[in-house]
Amino acid sequence: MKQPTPAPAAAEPSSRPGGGPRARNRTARAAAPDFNARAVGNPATARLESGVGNCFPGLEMDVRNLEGRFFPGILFRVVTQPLRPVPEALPDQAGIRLVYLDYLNDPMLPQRGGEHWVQTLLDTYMSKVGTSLSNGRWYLHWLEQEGKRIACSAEDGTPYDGETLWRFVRCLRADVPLKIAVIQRDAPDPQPVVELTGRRRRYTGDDGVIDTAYPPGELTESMCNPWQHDFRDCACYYWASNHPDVVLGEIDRTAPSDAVPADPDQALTWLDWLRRDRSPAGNVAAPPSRAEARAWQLDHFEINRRWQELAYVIEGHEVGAVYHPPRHERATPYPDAAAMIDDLRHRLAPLEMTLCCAYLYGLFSLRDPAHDHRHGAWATMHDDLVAARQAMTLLAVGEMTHLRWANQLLWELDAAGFYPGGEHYEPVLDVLAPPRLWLGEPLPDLQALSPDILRRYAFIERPRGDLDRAYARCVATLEQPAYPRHLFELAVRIDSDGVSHYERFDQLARTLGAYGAQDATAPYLRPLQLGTEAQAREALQHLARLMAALKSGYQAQARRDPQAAQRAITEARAAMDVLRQEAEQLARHGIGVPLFDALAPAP
Amino acid sequence: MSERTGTRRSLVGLHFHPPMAIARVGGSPHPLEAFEWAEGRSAHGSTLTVLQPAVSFGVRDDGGLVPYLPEHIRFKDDDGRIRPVAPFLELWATLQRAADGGLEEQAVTLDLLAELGIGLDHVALEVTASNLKAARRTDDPACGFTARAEIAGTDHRRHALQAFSRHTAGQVPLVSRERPIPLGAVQWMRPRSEAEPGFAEVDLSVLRLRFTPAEGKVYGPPTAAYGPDRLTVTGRWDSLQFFRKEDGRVHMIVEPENRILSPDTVFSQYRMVTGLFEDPQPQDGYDGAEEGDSRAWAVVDDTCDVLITAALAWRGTRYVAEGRVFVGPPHYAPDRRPFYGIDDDLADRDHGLMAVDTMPFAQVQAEVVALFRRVFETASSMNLDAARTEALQDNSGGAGSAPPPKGGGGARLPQTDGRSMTRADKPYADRIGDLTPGQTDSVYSPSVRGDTLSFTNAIGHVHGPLMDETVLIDFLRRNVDRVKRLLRPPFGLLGQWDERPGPEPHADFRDPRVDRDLMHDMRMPPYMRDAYYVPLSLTRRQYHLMIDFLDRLAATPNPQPEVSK
Repeated sequence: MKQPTPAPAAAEPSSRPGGGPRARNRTARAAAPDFNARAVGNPATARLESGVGNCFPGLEMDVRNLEGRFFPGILFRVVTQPLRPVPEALPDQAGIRLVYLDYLNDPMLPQRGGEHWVQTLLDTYMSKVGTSLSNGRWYLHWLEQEGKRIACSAEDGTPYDGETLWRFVRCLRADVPLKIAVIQRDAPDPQPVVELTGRRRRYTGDDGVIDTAYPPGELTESMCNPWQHDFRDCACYYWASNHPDVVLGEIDRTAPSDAVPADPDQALTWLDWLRRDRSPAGNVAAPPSRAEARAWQLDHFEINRRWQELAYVIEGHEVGAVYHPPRHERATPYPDAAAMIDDLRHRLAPLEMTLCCAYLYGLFSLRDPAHDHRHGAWATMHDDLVAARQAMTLLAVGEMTHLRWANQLLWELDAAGFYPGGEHYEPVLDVLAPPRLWLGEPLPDLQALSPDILRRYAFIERPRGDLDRAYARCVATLEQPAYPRHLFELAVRIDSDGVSHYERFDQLARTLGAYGAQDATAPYLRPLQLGTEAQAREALQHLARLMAALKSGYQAQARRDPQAAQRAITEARAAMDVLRQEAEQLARHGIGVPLFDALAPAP
Repeated sequence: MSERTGTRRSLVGLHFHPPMAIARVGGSPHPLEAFEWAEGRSAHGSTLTVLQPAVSFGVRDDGGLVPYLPEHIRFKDDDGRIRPVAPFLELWATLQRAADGGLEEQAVTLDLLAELGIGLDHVALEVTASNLKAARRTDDPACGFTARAEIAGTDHRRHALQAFSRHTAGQVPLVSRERPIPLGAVQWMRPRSEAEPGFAEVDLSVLRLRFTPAEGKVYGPPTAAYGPDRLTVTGRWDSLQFFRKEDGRVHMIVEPENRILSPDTVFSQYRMVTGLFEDPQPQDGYDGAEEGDSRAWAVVDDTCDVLITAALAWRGTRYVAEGRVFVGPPHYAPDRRPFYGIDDDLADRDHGLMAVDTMPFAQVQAEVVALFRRVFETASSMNLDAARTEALQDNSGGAGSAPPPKGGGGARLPQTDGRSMTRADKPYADRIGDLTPGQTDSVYSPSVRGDTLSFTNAIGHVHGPLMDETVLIDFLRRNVDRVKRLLRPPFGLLGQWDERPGPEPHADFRDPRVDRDLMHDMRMPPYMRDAYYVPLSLTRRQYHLMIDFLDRLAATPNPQPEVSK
């Protein structure tokens, strides 16, 4: 006899630990049904975990409809106050209305056996009380559980709207005694009230299936009709995982990884996934509000027929019809841990600091349109400077983050025992020593961000360039089983994080290259000269404070003192803030902070 | 006999595996091939979730399955039609061992049937698929439509599900029996004992059913031909204020061959917000809602939800397995998963909190890491700028008096106006001010050429690194109290509520009767809408997982490196 059906193997575990099918006994299964059990032949998007919960009203099912049969034997309905009631509309509709009794064949109410409350409830339904509940308009009046009676109306007697009351029901516990009362609203005063005792339904059974009290169609009946209508209009913003709001353009995944995209804007511009025009004419930046986007999106009715034109999205990029799994391109590992540590300490970490300083200096070289209104004849310069300054800020922040992660690799390697004998981790916060070569080629010195310099940065950051592959050897080394897994992930994180730098610099070069001179006299630049230590004294003091805080923080992390580390990070951020303010002030006066000199390694 | 256990076994129960599945519409006749989610391992690929092709099935003419492993995943045919998700459900049995009474579960196979002394002719299936969307809006059952198939265990043909409206005398059916709406197909696959070469691990003798959804078409009455669509987003505003203004592009609503529904049902008279019908929410979720006087075009789709029943007769007793399939739209970003899935929603209703204190630490940590991965996968495609604007406009639209600045316990609450998620939103905002330097005290983002979505751009910087376990755990250790503060509390259990609430929100849970608890702010998840349009939180289970894990992290001094894998 063949063995039980095995779970398909994945290269790496999915997000759910032990998510494959298990040979568990019924008790274990009842404790936590495996809603996401896998069957051979099914794509992962057939599992419930691929569907967005928390429905309003949902894409695959409306989970809220479970509350319609929260109480055994009754179908309730959420009714909201109509916004524009016509004269013939019934008054006082809002609330949770009893639609009908439905106790025959309710799995919670077996006619034979069952607990005492079940028999009592059935007797009630089968009596004159049940008959009365089948006539007139009955609404939920109060709920009582765990010693709390919660009224379905406010203190002034105004009934809560059905939407609010649904939440009351949603917050009930299963399997705990529950009392409810329903009141007949269309009866004369005093309006009859019927109290019922039971339990909130447990919505899924031991076998993981939603209770058969819910007939086919009921769990989807409140969803948009057609579903394409919801796709066009939903503003809940929680389902971007299934229906993206914004995406990046398509990239050629079969091209060599060192191929640079012809249009860097395509790699950096957020597109509206719902745009009507998917030609280059329509591939423009998504607006920051739904109202602004509306006119350029697929319309109702139109989407009923064009929904298959919507692009699939992988890794945030639109893709064509076919997805090719990524190729693994491995660099040559280091010969040993010592070689990797040496490279991290003396080349890679200092490189991050060097680039961070260069990008910060570049940021300060840009005019700040908030303070400097000399845009002259260029109507677009204000916006381009805002965007450029934002881009340079993110680039500098990114390099600072890489510096931290490079240090983290080092202290984790030390903690895991890979440091050479007798040596231990010390924070690396220096820039590369002069002449600041990267594989034999000089890196730009601290320079204003002229188009020439931007093109040099783009060249340095180009895909498959030496900088782009800087951490590839670390990744290849740490992938080996001798090393803790989490270090591999950290190396991949650093390695992947700079992927868009090339496109960013290329875009900046094209954008800012439209403003006349291509050198440091470009009109968008401040006339910046590298200052002396005396001129930049205060800024350098803030820089020293920043470095001290970073050193303290990294040391605290290395000795596993997270609270001290966080205090140091807070201090570092405060120092960074005042450094930026001081550096901007100096730059407005044409003085650049000599960051490299201050951070040069000791001879 | 069980070769595995060497003992006789008795059948105790049946179930489907998976118990419930999602099918996804598509116009292609070729179903989407199988794939799994895996963690990327390539340099430059980060540690993103990637798709890994998995064993898929071709179907022979006789209903038998042929396993193969695709090299890539094709989402669409060359003509652009999307490949549907057509899930398989396996029939499984619970068996009791004669020797010790122990229970075990396994798939029902030809061998197991032989062990039990029965055959495929002892199995029968019933499949019922219904779409009740129009029936719900109109409260008229004759506007729903249902298809049924009864399948013998020896019948391996593909059965089309042709749906029409149940009705009684005097009711007008929306969908006639003569012109039904196809809701897909179901097939009881032919099991076979011999393995496919190269796929010995795939047991082809397992009893399986496959549900194939419909093609994603819409249907309507003859009148649902062409209609205009207003180019404004009404949503939170009363769209009937503008009903005299008819503008926008005109489009075909339903293809001519699909205008087969009756124009004489109540659905053709349906209008929202009048009080004549009990509108489901959101009330404007139907074609026609946004134009004119909101009269419905009476359009329906071909989705449905399905109940599948398998009955197996053994020793005079009928053993029944039930399964469900829900038909939805394509999952257009299949390498992304929601952080609040249907499974989370179901578990939150029926199961208590996770016992974080007693679970193995590595297991708890893995749950937290998995949650943050899914948070990134949702947030990374979100237009946070648009969501923020809309949520803060909701706050101002619904505000009566100013919200209380502090909550229960005296904790300062986040801002609910244009200061939300800016430098001024202390102590909640941390790095966001640096990442959005141009943002002022405004509900709008300062969009400029080259930097149109500054909040959206910040997501990758903040949440991208948190996908990695090392970075995440390091961050959480350093920010225990801040992260607790940043998480929006879920709604509390009814037993926790005050019988009459005050205006100040409780520190640890929300109450739907408290206005401040229904206002958007930057707490996580930010600016997303919950069911019934109030701010979203994690589920109770997820929230307490986070809180309890953070407490456990804080209580662990000088931790050594942890690796959950």
